[in-house]
Amino acid sequence: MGEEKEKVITDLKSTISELQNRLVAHSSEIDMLRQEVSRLKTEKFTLLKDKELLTKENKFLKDQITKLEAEKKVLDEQIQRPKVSPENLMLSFKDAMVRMEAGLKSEKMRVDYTLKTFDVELKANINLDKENKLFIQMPFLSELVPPENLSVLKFSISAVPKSRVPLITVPNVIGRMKDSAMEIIETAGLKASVTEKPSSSPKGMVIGQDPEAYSEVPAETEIVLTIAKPETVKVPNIIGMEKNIAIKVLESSQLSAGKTEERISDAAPGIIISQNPQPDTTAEVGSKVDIVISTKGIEVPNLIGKTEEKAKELIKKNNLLVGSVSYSPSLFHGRVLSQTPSAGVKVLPETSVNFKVGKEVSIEDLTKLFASFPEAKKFGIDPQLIFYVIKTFEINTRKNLDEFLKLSDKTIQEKLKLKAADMAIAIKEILKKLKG
Amino acid sequence: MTNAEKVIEDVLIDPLEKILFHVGRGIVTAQMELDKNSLATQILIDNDKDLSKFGVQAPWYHFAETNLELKMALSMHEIVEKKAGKSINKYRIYGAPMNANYSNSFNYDVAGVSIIKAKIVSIPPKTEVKGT
Repeated sequence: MGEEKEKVITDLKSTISELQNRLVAHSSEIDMLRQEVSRLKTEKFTLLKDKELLTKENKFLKDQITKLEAEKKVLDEQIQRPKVSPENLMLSFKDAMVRMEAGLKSEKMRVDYTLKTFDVELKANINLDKENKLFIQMPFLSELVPPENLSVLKFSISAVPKSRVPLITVPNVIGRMKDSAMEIIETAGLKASVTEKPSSSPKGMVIGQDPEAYSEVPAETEIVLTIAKPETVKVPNIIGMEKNIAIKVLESSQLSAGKTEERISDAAPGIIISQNPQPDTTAEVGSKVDIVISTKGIEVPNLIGKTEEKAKELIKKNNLLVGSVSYSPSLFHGRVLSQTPSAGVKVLPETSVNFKVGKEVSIEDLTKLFASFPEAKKFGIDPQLIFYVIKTFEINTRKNLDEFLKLSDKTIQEKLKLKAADMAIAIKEILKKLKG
Repeated sequence: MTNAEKVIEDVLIDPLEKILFHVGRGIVTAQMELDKNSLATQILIDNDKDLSKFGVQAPWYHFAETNLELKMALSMHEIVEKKAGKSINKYRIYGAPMNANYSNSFNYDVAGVSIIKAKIVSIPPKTEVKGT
């Protein structure tokens, strides 16, 4: 019995211990859940706040839409309003005044009445059209326009005694070119004088007149026409800049790049070394500035003594162009005798290089040469002898020629079995002339 | 444009020249009424031997100077006028008279109205109107 009881007690203790452990585990889980609930509450509060803010913003935007729609309506109506030039407006008032005068007249009247002054304070929109001409718009009667949006035009018209001098209506010449405008003014019996004003309008266009158009003036009155002259700007200093930067600088000054020239210079390649017009001078808006850009240049290769093909190859290899090739009778046939520009000269890329190539000396060439060389005849030197000399001494290079020329006259006389040493001198002279 | 606004435009507005013509005509009519009154007075004097014996004359009045101030809502309309078989597009100024009722009914802001002031004088020398 005692053993059984002890076993039960032990079992119960073990159960209690297990339950205690589960209790501890559940408590910790409850704590975690509490923390989660607290976090979610905070989140809910934040979201509610956000919702409130968004509701406010939504209302603000709706108000804005309503306001903009109202403004759009006003603008739409404004667009539809008839546009009236000041001249037409005045004509309309004039019509109204003429009718008022007519209303004041009556045949049966003992007393005459007349309109002495007529002052108008007009609420209207004043605007400029695409051609910079003033126009006036008046709101429709049913249109709701904030009065502060309207300009006030005040003008006064008064009766003046009729002039005995016949008056001429000044023609409207604004927008015409100077010559045409002056002709119109003079045809109307008025005089024209001109004053210039810098303007973005085309050069020579009338941009103003005084007295203004439609006013009435006595004959021969001088009408001063304001003629547009191109606006001027100060030319910026672009020397030392790279071309693309300089173009931007010119454009910012309302100028543009003109002719671009390359010039060999010690300055870094691609840098502007000169400009025309000069910096700080004035130039018309939109005019061009010519620029000179620095370039390193190419050294002309030495072609002398090279074959024609080799010379052409060298020229092309150096980014130059083959210019004119001429031929001249020479001892050094097939070789370049001379060149322009000379070797070593610095030139711009793609500059043409001209050169002269030696061609084989013919009997005709020698005959021609002898004609201008009387010593040949005197010493009895004929072309065959010269050919013999060339062949014998192999005079087909400069080196060989130089060596031959260094030989003494006596040696030459002996080798060629010449009658006189003077003949050697003459042969040397002839060969010198055959260098080409 | 609502119907009510259309009615306003059709009924209330008139060309400015028509309005001014009638304003002028009003002065002439008033003058004629003054003259009629003076004439009637003169006839009465002439018919009264005592009064005519003392050389009594009826007074003749005229408006030496009339100042008008017209507050109107002015608007511009393009009209087509036919002259010698040709159609000419012309602008005409229309005016609607301002009154308190008009202002209240149509929310028309009084600050937005135009004002025309005219001075009319009697027996002037022959003149012509000229823009200034």
